This record gives sequence, C-alpha cells and structure tokens, in this order.
Amino acid sequence: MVQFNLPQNSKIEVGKHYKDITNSNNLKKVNVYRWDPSTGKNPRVDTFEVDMDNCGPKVLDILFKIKNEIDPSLTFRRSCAHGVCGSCAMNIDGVNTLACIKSHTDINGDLNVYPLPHLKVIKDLIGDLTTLYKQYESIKPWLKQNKLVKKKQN
Amino acid sequence: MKKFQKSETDKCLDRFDKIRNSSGSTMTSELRLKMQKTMQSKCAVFRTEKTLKEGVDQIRKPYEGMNDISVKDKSLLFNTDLVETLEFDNLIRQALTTMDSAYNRKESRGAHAREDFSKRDDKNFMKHTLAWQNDNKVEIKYRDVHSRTLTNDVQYFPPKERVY
Repeated sequence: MVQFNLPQNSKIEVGKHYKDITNSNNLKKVNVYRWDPSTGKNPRVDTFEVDMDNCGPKVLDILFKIKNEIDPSLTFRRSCAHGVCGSCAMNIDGVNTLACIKSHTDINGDLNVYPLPHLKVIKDLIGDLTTLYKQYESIKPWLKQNKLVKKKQN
Repeated sequence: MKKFQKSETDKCLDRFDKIRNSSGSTMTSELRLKMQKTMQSKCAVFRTEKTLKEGVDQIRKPYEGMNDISVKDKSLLFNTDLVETLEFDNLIRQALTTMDSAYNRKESRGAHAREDFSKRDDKNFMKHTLAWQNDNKVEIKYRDVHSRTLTNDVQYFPPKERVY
C-alpha cells in the first residue's frame, strides 16, 4: 500500500516543557500548537503546567494566564471574550469551538489546543481568514435598495 | 505629499526598535497589572486627596519598570507581545498625566469626582489642564476656557453647574 506522509516541514515536533513555578497542587498540563514562520523551524507542541487554583473557568483564561505569566510570545486572536465575536475560534480537546465559552473544567486530563484544522496557519493559534472574507463578500452581506434613486439636482 | 523630517521619523523608529529589542527581566503583563490596579484603586470614579497623593507616587513604579521590560517575541509577524508592550508604553504615559492632572485639580467637575471637593470651583478651576510628560516628571499648566463662539450667529452660553 502506498504510504502518504505529511511534507517534512509540516511534521509537528515535541516542543518545550514549561514546568510549574508556583508550587501549586492543582496543575493542568496544557499542550499548545506553536509555529512561528520567521524561525524556519517545524511546528511544535509546547507543554505548559498551569496553576488551576488561580485561573478563570474558560480555556481562554488559561491562554491569558500562559501569555501573561509563562510565555508572552504565545499568539492567539481574541476580542470580546464572551462568545459573541468568534475571534478565539480554535480546536480545543479535538473540537472546534470558541476558547471563551469552552470550560476547561469539562475536560479531564491534559488539554490540547490547536488552531482550526481547515485554515492555513499564520502563527501559533492564528489561522488565515483570507478565504473566509472572500466567501463572506461573495454572499453580499449588505442591504440593497430595489429602486435606483435619482441623483439630487443641486 | 508633505515631506517629513528624517529626524521626526527616526524618533518613531528608534522607539519601535528600542521596545522591540528590550531584553530586561520584567514582563509587560506584570507592569500592566500594576498600572491597572493603581489606576483602579487610586484614581477611580470617586477620588480623594489621599488616594491621589498615593497614586502619584505609586503610578511611577510601573513607569520606571519600563527600563527593565522584556519583549520575548522579536518576530515581525502578528507579534502580539510587541504590540502589547507598545500599547503599555502609550498607556503608562497617559496614566501618569491623568494621575497628576487629577491630583492638581482640587474640585469636582464632570467625570472628575473628588469626595473632598464635592462642588465645582469656577473661581479657581474654570480652565483646561495642559500636561507635558518628560520622563517621570509631569509639568502641569492651564489654559483659559474660551468665552466666545466662532461665529456671531449664535450667542455664547457660559458653562454652569448641572442641577436636577
């Protein structure tokens, strides 16, 4: 049988392991997909040990905690943070969802966070939305008038 | 198009490069949180001489922390670490001038509500605050409020206290 492999530069490698520095008894291991095209390296999955005693209830809170306290170079889109805008859409625990409405308390064991699977990745968890905007434009999502209005004479 | 002086554009690029290449030991998020907590507790909706005096000292700590700030991500693509640090640089300067301006305005007016000076004081403070920030010093000056309109078609209405 023919074996198909991912191109060499798409293979995901094991990344850094950030050990807990808070001495917390309530840790969660969070595996996050990382890729920075400017390094020329393959994508990797970094593992962060996060103190869950001082963390908000949603997966987005975990990402903020990692960015603010462990690794500020982690890159993801976010805007409204309460399930309206859709900026933080990503693949969490194997399911495409919004990081701001997904509770991490529902997830047992390690938490896996990947970018949306159908988009070209720009960096870390950020997908390329060019096609989305093109499709969006193609449905002409704006109001149109059904009569031509005569230009006002000045 | 108007030509810009190279010395002016260089200032912008120098600031960008300085922040991008900063390699201290303090995270932007740490200083930002300090700034947020100070503004929220010392310069919130209701202010007093005591909280503002403390705030004037305290807000300078995150400002001076800029000297030891670190930007870990050096890339030029979707660099949110760099953007957040540039934003912090803008915000902390704004916070400094806000705090000093509020401390110097010993009256209540509009959104500036001082519990120790609950009334507006048109005799001493019917004027705009002007602030110049130079390192951790903020120079405060004042400018008169215009008492005329830009046209003769409408009369001038002097501002007055809003009572219900």
